[in-house]
Amino acid sequence: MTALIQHLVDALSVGSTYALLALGLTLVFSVMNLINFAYGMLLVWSGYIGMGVINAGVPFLLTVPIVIAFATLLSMAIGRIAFRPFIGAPPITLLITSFGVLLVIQYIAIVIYGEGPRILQLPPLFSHDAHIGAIRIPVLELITIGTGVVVVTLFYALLQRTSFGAQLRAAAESPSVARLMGVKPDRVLMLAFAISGAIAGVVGLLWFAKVGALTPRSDLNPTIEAFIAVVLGGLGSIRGALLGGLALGALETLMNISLPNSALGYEQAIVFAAVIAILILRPAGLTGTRREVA
Amino acid sequence: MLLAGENLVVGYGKTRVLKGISLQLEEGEALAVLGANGAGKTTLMMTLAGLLRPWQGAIKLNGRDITRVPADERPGLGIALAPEGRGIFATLSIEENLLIGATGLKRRFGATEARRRAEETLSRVYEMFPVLGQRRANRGSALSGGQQQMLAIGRALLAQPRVLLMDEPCLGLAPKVGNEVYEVLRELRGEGQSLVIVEESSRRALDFVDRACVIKLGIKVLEDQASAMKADDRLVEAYFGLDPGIDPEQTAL
Repeated sequence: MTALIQHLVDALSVGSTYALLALGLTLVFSVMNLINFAYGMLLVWSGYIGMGVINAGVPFLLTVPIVIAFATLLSMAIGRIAFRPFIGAPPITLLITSFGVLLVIQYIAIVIYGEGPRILQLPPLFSHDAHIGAIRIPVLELITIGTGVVVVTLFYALLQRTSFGAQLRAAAESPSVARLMGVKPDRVLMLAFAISGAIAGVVGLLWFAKVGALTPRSDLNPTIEAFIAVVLGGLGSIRGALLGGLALGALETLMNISLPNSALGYEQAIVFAAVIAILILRPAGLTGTRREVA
Repeated sequence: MLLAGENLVVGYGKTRVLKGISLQLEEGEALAVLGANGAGKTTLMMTLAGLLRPWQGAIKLNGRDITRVPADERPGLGIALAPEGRGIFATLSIEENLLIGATGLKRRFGATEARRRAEETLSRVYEMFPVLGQRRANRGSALSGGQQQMLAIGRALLAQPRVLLMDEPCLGLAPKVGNEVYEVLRELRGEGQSLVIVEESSRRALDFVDRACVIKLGIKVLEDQASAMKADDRLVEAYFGLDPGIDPEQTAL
């Protein structure tokens, strides 16, 4: 029983991280049909900035908003400089642009921080375990799940309760009719990049708190996981991104506990095979919608 | 002159669809643009609304050249289009669909006044279409075709347009529902709303507007007072280039 609860918390925690990642990726996709492969670099940069701020002696509670603000601004800058000029361009143009952006900000990181791994030093609390009866749960997992709930709640409030949110959903559903209503496509785009960046800031801290070490090429894993979660859930759907992220977390946890030791090295491949199997059965993803944001 | 299109040439890719069309609308006037399928009526509306940029020619609002004003700024100038196929946002609630029509007001009147006007128009739209008020929290996709058309009209009204552009408001609706739509439009006319309406079928439109023009393959072939046009065989000829005596309604529908 205790083992089951621990596994469930594991799955929820991994799943929350993936769900947030997928949320940030799918939001930009929904308004621009862009799979932003530079997304993982936002996490990496958030990690480096967090590292720098913490090393400068800033308390952790202040570090979080600083990192989020930085990631938001970086994401908006990328959106403004690299993607806004391509509103309405074919997906392949956007794809190539996103790889270009990825390389540029990756090499800036290499020049500044070098290729070697750096450590994101978080308060000791993060590496403690919480004891609830007989169950031991890493504090980081609880923080991750709690953050996931808070971010998703804020996100839905913004999307469903504000006029900005309505404009964003309208533009995602039908860009041209939204323009007829006075919705400015470039503003919607900036809003999507801003929200997506803020989420990347949060996930960046959580991700590297868990992984520990950080290199300029650490973007690959989170980008791939986010991409899989998004496709698994249904491209362009917010609900799908959340569902896909949680499902992917559950799948990975399940593999971790059920695979024999000798097969653990192939865990990732087996997870992907399972995802491919799901997509063969449900080609449009778990939620099956394509253009819907909420 | 409230709205004027001057010698508009518009196309897609290399294909010219409008081949030099001019039209004028006076304050408080209603103009019908008639023509068969493929004549360029929707292209004309999209051009006036700014979604298409003319290759040549100009669009003027109250004498000001707005040819290069993008579509998303035109509602702020007082031009609102209820597009062909209605363009309801299926994933937004009915109230959100209406309120998004008021997006341009902020630019026109400032935030506080825009909010006041939006709320005022919203309650007026709910009075006109009680069903929208009753179902305001439902999704746009939950409405029937006729109700969606009411929503599209209501949403355009939220922009408090100086010119209301309507692209085939009765397309795909049962005749009875189409009559209800016209009932509403007549009410708006009574309040002095200036509007341009695109129709394939002419009879109902001609009863309703002051003036009408017929376009055919991107060229305006006829323009006159609606009353004169109704009594006239030229309309049939303009539509089809056939001998008078064939009822265009019968053929077009």
